Amino acid sequence: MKPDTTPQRTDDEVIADAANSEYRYGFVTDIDTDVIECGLNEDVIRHISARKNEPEWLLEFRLQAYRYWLTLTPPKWAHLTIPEIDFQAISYYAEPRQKKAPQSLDEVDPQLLDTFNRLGIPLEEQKQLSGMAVDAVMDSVSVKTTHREKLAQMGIIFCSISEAVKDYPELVKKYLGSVVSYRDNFYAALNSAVFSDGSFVYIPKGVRCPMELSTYFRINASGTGQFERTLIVADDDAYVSYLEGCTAPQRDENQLHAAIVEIVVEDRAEVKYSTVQNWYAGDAEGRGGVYNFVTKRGLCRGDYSKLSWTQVETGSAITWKYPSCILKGEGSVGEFYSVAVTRNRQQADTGTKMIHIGRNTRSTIVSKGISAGYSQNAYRGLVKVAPSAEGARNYTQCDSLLLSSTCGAHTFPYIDVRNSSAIVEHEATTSKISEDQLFYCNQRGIPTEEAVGLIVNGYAKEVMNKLPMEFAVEAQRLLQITLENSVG
Amino acid sequence: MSAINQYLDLYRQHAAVICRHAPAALNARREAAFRVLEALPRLPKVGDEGFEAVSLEDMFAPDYGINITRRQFDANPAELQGCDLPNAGTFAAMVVNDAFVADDKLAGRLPAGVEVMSLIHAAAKYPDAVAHSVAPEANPITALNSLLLQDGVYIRVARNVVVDKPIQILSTFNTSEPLLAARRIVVDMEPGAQATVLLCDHPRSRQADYLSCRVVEVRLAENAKLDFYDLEESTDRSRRASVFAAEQQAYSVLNTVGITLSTASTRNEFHVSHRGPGAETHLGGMVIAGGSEVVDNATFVEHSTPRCTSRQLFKYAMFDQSHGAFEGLVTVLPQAVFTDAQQTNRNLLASPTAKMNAMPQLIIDCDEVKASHGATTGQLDEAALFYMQQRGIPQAEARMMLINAFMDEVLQRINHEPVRERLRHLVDRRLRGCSAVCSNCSIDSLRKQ
Repeated sequence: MKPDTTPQRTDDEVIADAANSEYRYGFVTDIDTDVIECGLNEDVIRHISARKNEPEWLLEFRLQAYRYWLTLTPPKWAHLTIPEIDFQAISYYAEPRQKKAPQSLDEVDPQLLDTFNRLGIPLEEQKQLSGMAVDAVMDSVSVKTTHREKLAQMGIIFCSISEAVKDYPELVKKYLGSVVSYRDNFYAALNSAVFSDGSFVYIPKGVRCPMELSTYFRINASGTGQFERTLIVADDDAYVSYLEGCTAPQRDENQLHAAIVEIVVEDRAEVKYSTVQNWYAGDAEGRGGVYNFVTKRGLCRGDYSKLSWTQVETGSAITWKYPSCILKGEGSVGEFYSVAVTRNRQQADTGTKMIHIGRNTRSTIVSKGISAGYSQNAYRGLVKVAPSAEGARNYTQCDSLLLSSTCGAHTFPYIDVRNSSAIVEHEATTSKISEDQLFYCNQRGIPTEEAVGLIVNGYAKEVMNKLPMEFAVEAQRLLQITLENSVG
Repeated sequence: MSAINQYLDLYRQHAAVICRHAPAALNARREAAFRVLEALPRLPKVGDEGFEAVSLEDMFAPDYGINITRRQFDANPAELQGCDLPNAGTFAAMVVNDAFVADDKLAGRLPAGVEVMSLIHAAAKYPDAVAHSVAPEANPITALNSLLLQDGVYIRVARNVVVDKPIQILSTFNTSEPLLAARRIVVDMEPGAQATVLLCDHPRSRQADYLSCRVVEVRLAENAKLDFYDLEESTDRSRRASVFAAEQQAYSVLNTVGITLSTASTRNEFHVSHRGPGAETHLGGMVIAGGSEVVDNATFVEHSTPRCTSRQLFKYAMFDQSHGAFEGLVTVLPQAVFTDAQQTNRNLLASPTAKMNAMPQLIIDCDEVKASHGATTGQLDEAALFYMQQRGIPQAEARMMLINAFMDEVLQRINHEPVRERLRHLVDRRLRGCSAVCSNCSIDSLRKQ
């Protein structure tokens, strides 16, 4: 587990820090990066594939996806104002330049290590101390995976997807694209064509992963997009908790992040996927920031399998993200817990899809939206019960909190029930922070600003509680900092 | 080729004939409606945003006849006597196919300040009121209606007049040929006026396919109050595409209850916008569908002024292979402070093959609001059924009692007691598998059982 390395600080320091709460992760690491030329065509894809020494079938997969992508147009249905993106003005591959593959941590570029230290990733000396295995993806390339040996003893595979392609081609071939097909949507097709790296996790039968697996994503080079791909497979009776964190430097331009996460959960297995997304959100006027267009989906293929998504979304200029569960196995369970905070000019259209196919499948959705400034925050979710999903059960709750008179909070649930034994419930409320609660806090000597933090944290607690411990602390603080100066 | 083309072609060829039989106020809208339709690649279909069950493209695709030459059909206003409410009575008029038909005596019976007349007549008497439409012009149903409309019903209640009996409009189809009827009902409530309007949709026969393309326009001035009840009891050969549009001034109150008991396929849209502070909107709806019926209710409530309230309650009971959908949208604009909006949708799936889609949506751009929505889909409570069976109530009866109880919440929203009791009786008949007709009804097609 990752210890809280920040020393105890006085209240004054906390307030001073919070008041100047610019984006904390907005530094650029001066690392020699190999960026290929902007633009996208079959040659670029062949180039990426060759660069990574990929087998023929993967190149074919990429090209197929690319050709399909050419027939598509970006989706427009979301409640978002997305400026036109010139997909030819993006470089689809940026690799931190290193002479040769590092054999140990000592060989990793110290500047790179410094980057991750500043991000608070326990990559180096915390290797032994913390129980977490980390795969850090910088720009497009997976930098270093810790704890691999220990995991390998248990048969757990945790490596970058490019290594997995080399070392475990059969597994990758079997599962890649099995949950998110390249035909799924515009950004999924784009990712399938140009995905550069990401993490691959395989938990064998009956193994309970003893530590939390974690990936940090960071876009560093300018003018690049990040297209990582994560594939997690939990075989029968396996368990894994996986964490994902994201940051990016401050830049005036918009950067594109179009990732895919695929999860396969077999019989009685359980996967818990937690995200703290803090990509650079742009400045107060809405300049710059990351476009976060992500396709995340898990397939509960086995009976009594369970997949749980927890996300804390505070960053990105625009978020378009719907982590979903396909509940195919009998008695499988899907969960989605989300806190999405938007402020300044941020826009978020996020939610989930729960697709009930198997008998007695259950799903829970708890979504908490918090909007401030001039931001737009939308929940969009689908609950679909197929005719075969006898006894399916869903409960959805999505609440929105408005912290300014200029922001927007929207709810777009889609409920599609085709089985008469299913019970589907949806509830949503939208309101501002209750004056009574604020007054109560003020009466007891808590300044308004702090009271808002208190109330918002209480409001989000239901979701925060679902996060693994070390993330919960970080997420709570993130939430507080994000909301500073945005009440009014 | 889209279904729109046949209507555009018809208009291109026969615009002169259509216009000849209609007042100038209606003719003035046709060009704009034509352009709206021309710009559409096709009519909305299932899968398009906000169209979960009913495909307008399929609904309008068959080649229905349109009575553009205004041929007169047999109409007997005496039939309306069968609609009479016990202990109340109504001021009743008819729409036969697309023509307004009223008893000679109706005008004499109406209290002072209340007028019920044809749109053609109204266009001469109140040209401004007829010329000004509150219906959403870019909407495809409205556009088709505006393109083809030649007549309709106009109801006006003068300042501070309170009408005690309901004003009832019975719409029927009376041809042996397929027919598309463009119908429009305009209700003008002057300041402080209060009235109850009851619309009943019954085709007269089930020999042919019918399509009712209907627009209801309601204008509520300050402090006006309108109770609007809409019953659809038609046949498996009639379809309906309806737009209800209301504009509410300050402190006005609108209460609607729409009941769909049988149809082949129906889409009802409700567009309500507030033009002054303190307005109140209550939208209620109930659907009981069986066979392969498809019913879709879509609401669009726009809060654009301060301190307005909206309450929506839509309940569905779906049997057999029926397919229901509810698409509700509440929009709160930045200036609409102290809005209180609630939306509820409850659905019962009573057969393994029935389907339900719900899309309750909120778009909120203002922080001084209380807004909530809830949607549930489920089935009858097994424990309650068992409890009743234990006490000797047969299962079928017990189920009916539970569905009746489930629907009661919607019926309770009907403020006019005789209307409520009549509709409750009809709902009960429908649940028993009989056609939901009043006991004195003379319309043969509805006496199928």
